[in-house]
Amino acid sequence: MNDKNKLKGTTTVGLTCKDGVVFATERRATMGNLVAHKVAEKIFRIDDHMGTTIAGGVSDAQKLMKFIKAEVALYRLRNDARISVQAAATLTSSILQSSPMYVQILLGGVDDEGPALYSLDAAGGVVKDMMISTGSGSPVAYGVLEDRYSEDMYVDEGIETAIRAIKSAMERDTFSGNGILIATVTKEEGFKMLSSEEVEKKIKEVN
Amino acid sequence: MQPFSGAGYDRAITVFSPDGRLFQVEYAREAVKRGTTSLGVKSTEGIVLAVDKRPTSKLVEPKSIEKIFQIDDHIGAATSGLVADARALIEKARTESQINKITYNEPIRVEGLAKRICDLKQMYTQHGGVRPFGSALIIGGVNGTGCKLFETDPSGALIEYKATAIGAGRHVAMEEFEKKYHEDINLEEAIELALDAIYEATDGKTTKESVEIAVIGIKDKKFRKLSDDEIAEHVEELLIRKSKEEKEE
Repeated sequence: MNDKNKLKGTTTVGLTCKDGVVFATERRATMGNLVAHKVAEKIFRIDDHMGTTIAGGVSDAQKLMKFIKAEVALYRLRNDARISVQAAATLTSSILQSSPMYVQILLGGVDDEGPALYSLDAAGGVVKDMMISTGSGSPVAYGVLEDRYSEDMYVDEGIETAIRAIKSAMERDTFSGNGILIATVTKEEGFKMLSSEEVEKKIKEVN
Repeated sequence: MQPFSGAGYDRAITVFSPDGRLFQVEYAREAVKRGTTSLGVKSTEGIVLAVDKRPTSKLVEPKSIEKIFQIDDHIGAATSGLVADARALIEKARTESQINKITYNEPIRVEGLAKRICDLKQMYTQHGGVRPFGSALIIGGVNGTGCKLFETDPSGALIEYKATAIGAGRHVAMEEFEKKYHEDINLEEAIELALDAIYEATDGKTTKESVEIAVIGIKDKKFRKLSDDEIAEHVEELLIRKSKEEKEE
């Protein structure tokens, strides 16, 4: 995979906060210069305690999400315990290693060890980090994150920072736009996708 | 003459008898019942596995008799029945543990491993041209902050226990457990109880050479076989305890 292909579209942000993980993406799906889809879902719920964001080829990403969901469900049934974020990342990495897919995903959640966030590339490379952005808008998003993100943040502040990062990327990256999608994973509430009203409210608060 | 109702139904394991039994599987259970006594006890501090391994001849090197096996850092198993079959199962268990480590980058969970072993055992009760495993396994290990103890039988059935025994002395040992086991038993007490059970199950023929003990602590999550000295100490205490009990009676 060369870099020219890698950053075709999308901006996603994942933040590890004190009390959970925040995911944010914009909603534009592109085919070259065409905006193919304006309400794309780039955040997925994997289990009660885990979620992912996707960037890259839609079909590969959708297939991979199905695989991870199935594996995580099987793990829970076989072991009578939910899978750790670390284990899910390792497993996803193995899937990608055996059949590389044109995706760049963030996988994060809260387990017994606390919040954790991983980034996986098309060939299965895994990186654990506190704050990650992917997609063509990531250079812009990183500018905001480097300035604003801190590891001592709580999820509420994390949402605000993620919105600022995605907003900036949508302003300056042609292949990102059409609104923001936000999800959080906390110990208390598990995976929670914010409704469009909630997102609107948060965006207004940021402004 | 009326033939006995199961005649002919024990030639192939995949064939049910008219009253719904699988004779080959039952025979495999018999092999376990004739085996030496092995047992496991769950305590607040970890798992204790203990086996009776009296040699059949003075000439056998006692060290070469192995009935407790380490499966992974945090899991061990005590076996009874056909030793060769047990070793094949242990090999499978060890491989599954390592596969889990590669797949998830974390130690396999005890129930997950026990289920994998039972899947294999079950396969050998349904496929043609094979025979069931003639051994039962007591699988014990540590998961996160707790410990688990499972018993598997030749049919592939799986039951979780607080304390259990397999082999010839099962009934005697289980009686001992039912009498003396309590929920807040610590590791030392669990070793004592395990030895009591082995002592009763072997009609008092317990010596420091005839038992093998392994522990898996919740804190260090490490399987460890007790050294000869440690076992000698425990057995000595056991014998003193027993002779006192007898005097009191």
